[in-house]
Order: sequence, then C-alpha cells, then structure tokens
Amino acid sequence: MFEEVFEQLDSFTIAGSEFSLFSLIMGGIIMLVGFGIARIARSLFNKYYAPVLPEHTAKNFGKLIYFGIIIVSFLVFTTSTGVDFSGLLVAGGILGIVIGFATQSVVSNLISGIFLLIEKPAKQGDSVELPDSNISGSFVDVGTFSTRVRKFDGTIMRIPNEKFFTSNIRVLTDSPVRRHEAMIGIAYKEDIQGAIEVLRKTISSRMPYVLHEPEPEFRIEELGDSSINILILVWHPKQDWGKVAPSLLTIAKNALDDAGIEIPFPQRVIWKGEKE
Amino acid sequence: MEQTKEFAKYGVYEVEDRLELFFPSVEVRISRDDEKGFSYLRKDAEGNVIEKIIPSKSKIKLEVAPIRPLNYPAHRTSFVYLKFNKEVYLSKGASTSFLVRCPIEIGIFLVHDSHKDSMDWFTCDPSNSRFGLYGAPDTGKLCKYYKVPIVKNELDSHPYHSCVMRVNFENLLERGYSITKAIFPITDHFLFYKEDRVQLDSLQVTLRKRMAVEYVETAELRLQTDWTKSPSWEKDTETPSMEMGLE
Repeated sequence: MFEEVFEQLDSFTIAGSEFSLFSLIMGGIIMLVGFGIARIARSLFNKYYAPVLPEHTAKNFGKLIYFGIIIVSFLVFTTSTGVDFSGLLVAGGILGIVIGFATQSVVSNLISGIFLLIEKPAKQGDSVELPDSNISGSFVDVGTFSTRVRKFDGTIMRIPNEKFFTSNIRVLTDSPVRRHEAMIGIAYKEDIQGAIEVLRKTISSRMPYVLHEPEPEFRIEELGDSSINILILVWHPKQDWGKVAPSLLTIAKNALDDAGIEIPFPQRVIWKGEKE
Repeated sequence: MEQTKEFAKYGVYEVEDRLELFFPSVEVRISRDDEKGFSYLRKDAEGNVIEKIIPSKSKIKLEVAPIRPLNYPAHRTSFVYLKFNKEVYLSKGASTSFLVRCPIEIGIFLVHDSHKDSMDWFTCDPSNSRFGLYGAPDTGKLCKYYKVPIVKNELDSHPYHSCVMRVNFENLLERGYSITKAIFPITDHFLFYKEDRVQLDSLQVTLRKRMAVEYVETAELRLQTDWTKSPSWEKDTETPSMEMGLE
C-alpha cells in the first residue's frame, strides 16, 4: 500500500515546477537543519560575543545571524528542489498588487525598522522624547514592525516604526551633561545683583549635582507685570535630572525667603475715578 | 567644657570589642553586637546615618585609608578636573614641576587574610565636591571639578580633605602657553599615606604638536616613597595616558 502511495507521490507538479517526494523530504531536512544551525549560532553569539558588545548592537547582530542563516537555508532548499519561482511570480502578480496595497503599512513599518537599525537614532536605555506625539521615556528596542519606549511611569509604549522614523526624536541622554532652566521673580524694589548672588551661593552649596563648570547662569528674562523675572540655567550630569530639576525652584524660593527678598504675586493698582 | 576630639589617623585598626573614629564632621563607631558580629555606624557631615552589620566571631581588622575623590555625590566619572588658583606660563621648550593639592575621600576597608574589601566611604568636605565639564556639552568629558591651590611641599595637604600631587609640565610647542588646569583619569593614580598626610602619584603633562594640531598629553608617574599605599576603592583601569585638545 505504501509503495502505491510513494509511486503516486513520486512526481507531481506545482505551479509549473515538478517535484519528487525525495526532493521535498530533503528540502524539509535542509530547512530543519537551517533552523537548528541558526538557533545554535545565535546562542553561541549571545553567550560569547554579545556580553562585550553594546546591548542594542548585540540584539541586532543576533537577529541578523538568525535570519541570515534561515534565508541562506531557504535558498539552498529552493535550489535543491529545483523550484522555479517565475511561474509563481506571473501567477501571483495581480494577487501581489492586491496584497501590496493591503499590507502597505506593514511593509512600510518593516522598511522603516531596517532604516532605524541602520541610522540608530538612540541607544537602548537612552531617554528619548517625541515632542509631536507627546511621548517621553526610555528607549527599549526596534522590533520588526514597531519600536518600544518605556515611559517614565513604567508602561511600555509601542510605536509603529514608520511613525517613529518620521517623528522628531529628542535624545535626552546622548550628551554627558544636560541643562535645566527655571524662572523665579523678585520684587521691583529688590537689588537684582544681591538676589542673584544669594541664588548662586545657595545653588553652589546645596545642589551637589549642579556643575561648577560651566557655572550656573542667571539672566534677567523679563520685566514682568509684577516682578523682575530671573531665568536660572544650571547644567547637571545627564542621568541626574531627577536630582536637580524637581528641587531647583524649591531651593531658590527658600534661599530668597531666607535672605528676605520678596517674591511678589500678581497685583493690580486700581484707580477709582470720581466726578468733580 | 567640651572635650576636643582627636581625629583618627590613617592605618589599620584591630577591633576586638569597640572602636570610635572621629574625622572632621564625620563619626564612625564600631561595636560588638553579640557573639556573631559587629555593628558599624557612620554619621556624616550632612546628618546621614549609615548602619551595617559585620558578621564575625573573632576580632576584625579595618583599614582607614584615603581614596580617589570620585564617589560623592555619586560615581559618574573617572576623570578629575583641577583648576589651579594661579596661571602657569611655560615658554617654548620649557619644563617645570610643582605641587598642587588634590581632594580625597576616605575609605574603610575590611582586612581579612591578605585581602582588603571596600566596606564604606565618605567625604569630610562635601561642599567642595562638585562636577565640571571639560569641552563642549555634546562631546565634552564629565569630570569631578576642584579649584586647587599650588603648594610648596609634600606635607602641605589638608588632612582628610586633600592630598598633594606633583605635576610635571613640558612644553614642546613652538610658542609659549599658559596653563590653568589639568584634566586626567585619576583611576590610574595611587594614593600613599603617612599618619594624616597623603600623596598622589605624579602627573606628567606634555604639550605637543602633531601635524597642525596642538594637544595635551597626560600620563601618570609612579611615586617613589616609603609611605603606605592605599587600597583601591574602584576597579583599577589600564589607561596609560590620554590626549585632549588645547583650548
């Protein structure tokens, strides 16, 4: 009975290409061996080479090795079985156009992902901000179709690669230092230089993460309705935003309070007209 | 009448039951809790209290030693930026050598067999331990930043705050040059102590020109001394020298 089945299946035709059962079995073995080699190669790479490479690069190399071997296996499979794809291509031409339109965004995300891997706009762990989408967080990785960003509240945001690729991306931790700005107002009657000196001394003594070179900068930003507005600009190590930004205004306000310098609130002088 | 506390000297201490060490604005107290171990307590200049348990059935040995000033407020870099209080002018082909103060921190090491484990560290001068940037914000190097005086002899360090380092300058440029600062990876340098005085390996600073580019090359020079070598707090690095552009 088995002999009959083998005889019937010995040779058959698909899309104009003639196959034998033996060649199909060989093709299957080639693909299985290919998958096995790809997994072993990726494991060996992850064990011996990935630890010395940056995490992001190691992940991309791992994917390249894995999928590269699978593609080579597939090519060997098609060559050994003698598949002629020209017939399939002609037959599937119209279908291809239909599928192409339907999967436009999928392909677009795939291609954008490849470009993102080549361009590397950020490294794994970098703090990034997408101002157009109002997204900020820690860059996780670029996947096949989407990029993942861990927001500062701990949730993961999945962004389609195409959208990420075409967005304005602000990388917050690429430079060794960052600058933070804050504005504080003092009353018109106060001595500007005196107030700046108070702020300078307090920031210098109470904020260890603020850089002394470049020094904190103080600019009179505006003669406002109620106050003279002083813009404070301080530099800090890139990873220490949380140690500087949230406390800068508190420390500045307390310093001015301690020095008896008034921080005015908005006020209006109203003149009441009277009939003569 | 308040009793004046004598500050502790650097060195190895054997603790059988109790030990109290006083430093400027920092106190360290070690006492045997029970048969199983010791309790360790440190109160620092900012009022922070650190407590640890040291399991040991027998007496313990501690070494109090100066360490590189890289840990306060947080370890962010291996580089130190020393801004001199006076400018040094080097004419073409000239070389000179002088001593500068360089800040230190203090490390407590647990000594067992021939091994020294980093157990705790602190600074007695937190208000002068700050960061600075050498170069542009996008490409520059983050450093620990200190304004330091040029001093006259090796003993002119401030106990518990600073050590003394010899800096050798050599100008191989075709013009004179004013030097106001030294930036170098301090992890290449070792500290040596004697009682409460500390010295750091010397620094060689050479001003050179390669093609049309003028640059500074810095390298450490091992100190020849009979003072005790401090254990290293950080893992040692192998950076024999570094180069940077002239500003």
